[in-house]
Amino acid sequence: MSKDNSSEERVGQTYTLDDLGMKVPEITSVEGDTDRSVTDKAIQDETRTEGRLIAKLTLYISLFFGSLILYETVSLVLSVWNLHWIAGSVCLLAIVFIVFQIVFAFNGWLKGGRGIEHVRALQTMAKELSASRTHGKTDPLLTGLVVFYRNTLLEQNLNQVLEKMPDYLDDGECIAFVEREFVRPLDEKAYSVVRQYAIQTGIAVGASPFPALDALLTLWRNAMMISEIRAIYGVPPSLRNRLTILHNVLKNIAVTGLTEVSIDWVTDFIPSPLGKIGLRASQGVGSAVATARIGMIACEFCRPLPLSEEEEKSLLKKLCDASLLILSKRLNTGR
Amino acid sequence: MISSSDDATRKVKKLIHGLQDGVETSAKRLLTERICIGITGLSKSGKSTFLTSLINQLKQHRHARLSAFSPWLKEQIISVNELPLEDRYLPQFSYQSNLQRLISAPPEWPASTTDISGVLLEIKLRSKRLLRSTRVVYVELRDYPGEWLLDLPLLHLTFAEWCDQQSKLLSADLRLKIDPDFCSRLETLDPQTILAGSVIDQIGGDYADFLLKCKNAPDGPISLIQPGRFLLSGQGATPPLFFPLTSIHEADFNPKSCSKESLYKELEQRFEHYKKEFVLPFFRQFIQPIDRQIVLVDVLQALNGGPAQLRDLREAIGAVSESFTYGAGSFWKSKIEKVMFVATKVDQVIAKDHDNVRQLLGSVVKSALEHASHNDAEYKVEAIASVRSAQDIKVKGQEGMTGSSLQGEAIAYVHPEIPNHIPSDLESAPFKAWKLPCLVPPAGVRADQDHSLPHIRLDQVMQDLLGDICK
Repeated sequence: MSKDNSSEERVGQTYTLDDLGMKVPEITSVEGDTDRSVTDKAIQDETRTEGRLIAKLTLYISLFFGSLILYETVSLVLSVWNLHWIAGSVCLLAIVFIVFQIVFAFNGWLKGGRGIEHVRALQTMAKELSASRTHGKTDPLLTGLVVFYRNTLLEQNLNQVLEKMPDYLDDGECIAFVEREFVRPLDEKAYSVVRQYAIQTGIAVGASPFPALDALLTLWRNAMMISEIRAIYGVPPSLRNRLTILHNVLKNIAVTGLTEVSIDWVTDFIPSPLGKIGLRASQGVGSAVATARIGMIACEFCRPLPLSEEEEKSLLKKLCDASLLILSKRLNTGR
Repeated sequence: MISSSDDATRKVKKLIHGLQDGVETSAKRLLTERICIGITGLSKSGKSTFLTSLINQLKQHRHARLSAFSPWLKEQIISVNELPLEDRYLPQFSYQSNLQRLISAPPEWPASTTDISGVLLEIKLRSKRLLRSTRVVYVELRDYPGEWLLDLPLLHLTFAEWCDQQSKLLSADLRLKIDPDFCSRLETLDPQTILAGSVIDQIGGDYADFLLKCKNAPDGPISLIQPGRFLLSGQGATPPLFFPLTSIHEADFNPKSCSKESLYKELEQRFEHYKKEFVLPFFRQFIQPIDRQIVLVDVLQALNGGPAQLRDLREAIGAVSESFTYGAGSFWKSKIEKVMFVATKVDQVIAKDHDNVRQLLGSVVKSALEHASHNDAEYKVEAIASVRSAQDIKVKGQEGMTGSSLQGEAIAYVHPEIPNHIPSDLESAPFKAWKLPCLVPPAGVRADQDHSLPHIRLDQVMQDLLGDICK
C-alpha cells in the first residue's frame, strides 16, 4: 500500500491554522509552479556527444570545399585581371561582396542554441510519463521545455501555460495539459502550413508540362515547408537542426515507404471526382499526399511532445482528406 | 364520493399530460441533437453540488477553467441556457438557490435533495458544418433523492426474495448492532399470523425509524437501505408501510400455505403496490431514458466508516447497477452507452493520493464495471471535486490539506495514506482513530459575472460525457 517512506509517516492529525501560525490560502482553480530550476543534464549530454561528431565532419568537409573554392576563385580573378585590371578589380569586389553575404548568412544559420536532440529527449521523457499517475516527475520535462523555449517567441506563451496549470494534476495529466494548451495551437498552425504546401505542390506538379521538373519542384516546396514547420515549433534555424530534421524525414520515408502510403490514399480517392482527371492530376495528387506525409513527419520531429500512433494516423488522414478535397476542386476548375 | 371522482379526474388528466409530454420529448429527441445524462448517486454523494457546478461551468464558460473540455478549448461554446424539461409535473432544478448557498457568507453546501427536479441545458455551439455556422445541443439532466435509487433492485425481486436478502443483511453485525431489539422482534414475527392494518403500519413505522438510524449510524451511513422512500417520500403520495419477514427463510415455510389475510400476504401486497406505484414510474421517468451515466460515489466517507461500510457500499452499487441497461442504444430504446464512476469530494485528500482514491473506487464498483464492460458500454473511473473546498499545504513538513471545518474554523490536517483497495480491518486502523474532516465550501468564492466555481477535474468529466457530442 505504501509507495515511499514519506507516505508511511503520514498520520491523521488536525490542527487549526492559528495553532500553526499560518494564513488561510486563497482557493483558486489554478496554481502555477514558479520554483523550477533550469538545468537538464541528460539533454545536455546527449546533445554534446552527437554535436562533436557532426562538428568534426562539417569541419573536414568545409576545409576541403573551402580550399577548392579558394583555388577556383583566385584562378578566376587572376584570369580576369590578365584581361584588364578594371575588370579584375570589379570581379574581386563582387567576390568579396558574395563572400561577406555567405559568411553573414551562415553565421545566422550556424547559430541557434539548442538542437533538435533536445526535442527528442523531451519527447522520450514525455512518452515515459504520459500514462503515469505519479506526481512531481514531470519537473525535468517542464524545465527542459522552459530551457528550450527561453529567449524565443514562444517563451511567454509557455510561461503563461505553466502558470495556469492546476496544482492537483498528476504527471500524465500535466503532460496532457501542456499538450492541449501549448502544443495543440502550434499543431494547428503547422497543419495549416502542411495543407497549404500539399495543395500547392499538388497543383504545381499536376499543371507542370515537364515531368523532369516535378522532383525538383517537390523538393523545393518540401524544403520550404519543413523550414516553416521548424519555425512554428520554435526549433532554432541552425545547420545541425536542419540537417537532423532532413535526415530523420528521409530515414522515416525509407522505413515506411512513402509511395505505398501515397498509393493507398490515391486509391481511396478513385471514386471521387478526382478519379476522372487523368494521369497528370493523379501525379499531382501523389505529390500532395507525399508532401502531407513529409510535413507530418517534420511536425513529429519538431513537436516538443510525442504524437501517439493513433493521433498521427488520424491527423494524416484528416490532412490528406482536406488537402485532396481542395486539390480536386482546384484541378477540376482548372481544366 | 366527490373527492374520489376528483381524484380519478386528476389521475386521468395527469396521464393525458404525461402522454402529451412524452410525445413532445420523443419528437424533440428525434429532431434535435439531444442527450440524456443520468446523474446517479446514493444519498449525500454530491449530486446537487455536481449539477450546480456543471451548470455554472457551462454558463460561465468564458471565465471557467475547462482545458480538458475540447469545446471550451476550441472556443466553440457560444452560450448556455437553462430550460425546463417538457414534463410539466417535474419542477425545474433549483440552480440559482443552490449557487446562492455556495457563494453566500458563510458558504453552505446545496441542501440535500428531497424531491425530483430536472433541467434542460441548451448549448449553442459554433459549427464547422457546411451551411450552418451554429448548432444547438440539448442536454437533459435530472436530480432526485439518492435514497430512491436503492429501490431499483426491488423491481427484479419478489417479496420472498427481498425478505431473504434483508434477513442476511439484518443478521450481520453492521445493522444488528444499530437496533438489536428491533431486529430480533422482526425475527419473531410469524408470517402466518393475522394482524390488524394499524399494527402492521406501526411495525412498518418502526422499520422506517430503524432505516433512519442506519442512515445516521455513528460509524458512518449504511448505504444499502431499502425501501428508499421510507427515508424520503417526496411530495407525491405516501408509500405503503411494509417490512421484511426475516423468519421466512426457515425450511418449513411455504408461502402457498398462507391465508389471504395473513401477515405475509398483506406485506407481499403492499410490497408489490410499492413497486408498481412508486419504483416503476421512477424507473421509467428517470432511468429508462438515460443515454450516458455518471455514478457519483462518496468513497471517502465510506472509508471513514471502515471496511464494513465500504463493503456495504459495494453491495449497494452492485445491486443498483443491475437495474441499468448498458450497451449501444437503438432508435426505439435508450441504453447507457457510456458510464463514468466518479469519486466525489477528492479535494479532501492530497493530490498524490487522488489515484489511490480512483483505485479504491474501482474496487468498490468492480461488479458495476464488469456489468458495463460485459455489455460493451464505455466506462471510466475518475476522482473529482465539483466544488473545491480545500488546498494542499505543508503541515509541519508533511503534505497536508487546509480548508474550513463545519464550524467555520480554518483547519489544516495530515491524513493517513488513502488505500488503493478496500482495506482489511488492520489496514483501516488509522481511519478508526481519526476521520477525514467534513469541510464547508471555500469562503469568498464568486460564481457570478466574471467568475466560476473552483473544481477538480470537472472538465475531464465534461469531456468524457459531452466532448464528442459537442464536437
